[in-house]
Amino acid sequence: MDKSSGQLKLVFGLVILLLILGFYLPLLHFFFGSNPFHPEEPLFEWSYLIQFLSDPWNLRVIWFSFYQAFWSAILAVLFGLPGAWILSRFDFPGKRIFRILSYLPFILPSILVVLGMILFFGNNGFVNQFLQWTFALEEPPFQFLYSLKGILIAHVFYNFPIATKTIGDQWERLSTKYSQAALLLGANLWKVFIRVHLPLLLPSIFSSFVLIFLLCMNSFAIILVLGSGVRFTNMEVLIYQLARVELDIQGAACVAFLQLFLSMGFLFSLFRGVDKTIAQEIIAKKPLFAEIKKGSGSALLSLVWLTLVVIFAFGPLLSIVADSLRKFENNQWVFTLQWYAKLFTSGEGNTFLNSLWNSFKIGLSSALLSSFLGLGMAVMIHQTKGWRRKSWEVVALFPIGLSTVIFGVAWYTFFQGKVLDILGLTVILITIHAVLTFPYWIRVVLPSLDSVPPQWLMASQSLGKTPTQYFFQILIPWLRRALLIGFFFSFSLSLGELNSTMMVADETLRTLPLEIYRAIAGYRFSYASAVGVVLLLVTVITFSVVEEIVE
Amino acid sequence: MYLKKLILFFGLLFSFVPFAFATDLTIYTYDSFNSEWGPGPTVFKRFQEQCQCKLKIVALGDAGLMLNRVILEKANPKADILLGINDSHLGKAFEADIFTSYQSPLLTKIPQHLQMDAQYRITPFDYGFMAFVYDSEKIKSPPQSLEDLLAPRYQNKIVIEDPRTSSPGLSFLHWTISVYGEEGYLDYWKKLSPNLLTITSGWSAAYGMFTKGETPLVLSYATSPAYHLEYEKTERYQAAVFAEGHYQQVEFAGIVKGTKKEKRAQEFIDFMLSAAFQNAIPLTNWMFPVIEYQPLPDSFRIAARPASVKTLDFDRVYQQNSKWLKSWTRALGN
Repeated sequence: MDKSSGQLKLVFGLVILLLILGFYLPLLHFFFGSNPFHPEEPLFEWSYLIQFLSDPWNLRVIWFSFYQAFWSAILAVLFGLPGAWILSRFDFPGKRIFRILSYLPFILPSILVVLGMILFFGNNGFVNQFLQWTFALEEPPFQFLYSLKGILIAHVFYNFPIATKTIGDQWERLSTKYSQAALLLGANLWKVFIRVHLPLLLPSIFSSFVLIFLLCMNSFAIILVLGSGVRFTNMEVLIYQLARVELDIQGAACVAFLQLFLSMGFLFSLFRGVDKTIAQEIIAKKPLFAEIKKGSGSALLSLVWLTLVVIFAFGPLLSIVADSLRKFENNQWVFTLQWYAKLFTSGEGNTFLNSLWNSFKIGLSSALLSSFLGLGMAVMIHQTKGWRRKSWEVVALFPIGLSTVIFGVAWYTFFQGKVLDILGLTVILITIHAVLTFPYWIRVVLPSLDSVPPQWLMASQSLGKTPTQYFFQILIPWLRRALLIGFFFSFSLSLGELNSTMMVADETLRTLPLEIYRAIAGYRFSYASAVGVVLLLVTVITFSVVEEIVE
Repeated sequence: MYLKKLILFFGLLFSFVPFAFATDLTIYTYDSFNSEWGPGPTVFKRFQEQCQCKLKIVALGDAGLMLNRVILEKANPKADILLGINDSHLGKAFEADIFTSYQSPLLTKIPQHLQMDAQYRITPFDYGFMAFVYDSEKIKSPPQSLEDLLAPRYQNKIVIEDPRTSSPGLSFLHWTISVYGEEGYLDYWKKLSPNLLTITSGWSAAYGMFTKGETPLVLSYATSPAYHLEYEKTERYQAAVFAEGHYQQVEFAGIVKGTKKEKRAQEFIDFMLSAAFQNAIPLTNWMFPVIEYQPLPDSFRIAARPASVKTLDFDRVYQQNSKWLKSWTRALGN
């Protein structure tokens, strides 16, 4: 007993040490330190902030940032909810691949996602061309891009899988006794959902809302390109402008910290303690198509939802695949495999295979490290109560609340390349990626962890098991699915990470997003798509293998 | 048992550690310069053969990021050469005082208007012009001036880059200021606004939308059509020549103050102005070399050579830029 709680303390200590060194210390040092461009001045100045906030135009920018992030998150959760229900109630052929595919948008750098959306939904995109050709229309019928609607729709399609997965995992293990009791008392299915399921699911609904909200706060390319540029400005655009174009690090840092504290304050006010435990069981799933044959209306609606997702969310991805198989020559698009041939031709100057290996290696290791950090932190949060718990939850979100543009600079100023020489780039990048992705891990796993009844621990203790045995023999296997989702999210996000990678990486270490970025800068758009497709394939294979091992 | 497997896994992962070489010169450049499509691999290899020395290339995102990094390292410089900052960054770079002067003997071969610093802290290596590139199958009568872009027939047909987040976008803002002055540029933009389908965060998204057929008119470089002629054998994409003149972008290199390899660095600057470097520029960086040792490649016949050139004084840009961007954002947005 003593020995194992000592071990747990050691793990917590390690986790906290890593997080402090990898994130919070560089951040605090940056925040309270001097302006790296003008060492005699402090970095953070209240006068700058007050001046910034006294300008009504800036207040509108702040308002818009919150407005679009809030509605994007609400809509994404609403769209994700039916998916969570479907995945926890039905089995259908291809379900596994469907689940894996929904991670994919996170893996691609945002430039490819945006181009994929335009290829598919654009005024001259595949959908519009097809409809115009079929119905002989003059004007493209779908014109939702390049407006606020464009921003919201893109955010929904990009982010709804977070909601589907996080909520689905909790829903899957919600004991049926609740709904059976309600049904016995005469409630209809809708009432059961509103009165029984929804309140029980609130932790995971909120968890996914938080993640999507922060992702949309930090959204950048989608806001500009799909929102029709200058008509909409959010704080992230302002931060980028100050840091990269005007090279005003002080201004950029002030706005970034303002954004961090405002969004954390907002989320803090929303966090609620957890007071209920929920009876758990694994629900038996029904085969979807058999249910449809039996005439089940809800099964039919589920099929409609799945079809919509396949078309709308995977359409842009398929467009990228299509783009990778063509080239423009003598004034027309022709089918070609040349981009793939080039990828796998070894020779001087071919950096692709090396980048692929680097991305894979960093993704896998950082996802493992992120799981370690996430698990330590999640267990710690799980064990605290009240405002202390709320504070821990918010502190654990900091890494995704801070603009990566500023994190890169803060990190670099703190270490000034010294640790680079000692630890080497690979280890550094793995740590940075793990620190930037563990908040996802926590938010995905925490609702499931919280809903484990405390009686289980007592029961296992009365059977003579130590807490460590309980942890490894009962808790981990029971949370297997949630742990896997957290792992996959961390892996996907690491594969797609570009901003902080660019700040520290050099020629000795290239990753696939960098390859994509470079190919596009050199006019090779289709080649970039091909790199993206390989990245997606590698991920699908990795995920299938990992799932196979774990299940 | 799991632990053992994990240790074995990480052991395998990191068993491949690159050897450390002693380097004779460290060059910071922007990422695409040293990509396999860019001039980097060719010219750096040539230099290493010439000097019998070892280069270390650090390619960092874009020019702004690179400048950020060198300023951050000012107390303890790691770079010897900074390759690829452009005119809009000069003010910041000079204020931060990160360069040391060097007057290359080859400077005499470079046109006077490309040499922007009387103290020789920076040396130009290529230049280009901003231009609107159009799809000649969709636009039969191309615009012939900035003024033409305001015509209703281009409604929702133009895509440009955002001056707040990208270098070509910023150059376009400066272009309009150089033509319409500080009094007139916002009026121009207000009239242009209905014709803009969208403003993208960077060149990549804008040019991608153009080549994928989403828009027939895009802000890019006067040399962009040469790429399509060279590699896609098509003259379908053309650069429109504007009566008001075109805004010029010049790229520079400088020797970092505090370098311990000053001689070697000067040798590199001389090499940069030699035929071995300059001849590689057109077909890899899609810019004009500052010294034409040989005729430009045939595909460059399609690159627009503007009759008149527009520029803004870099010091004025540095002083006014943030004010311009602010007024611009407010006049058009939210």
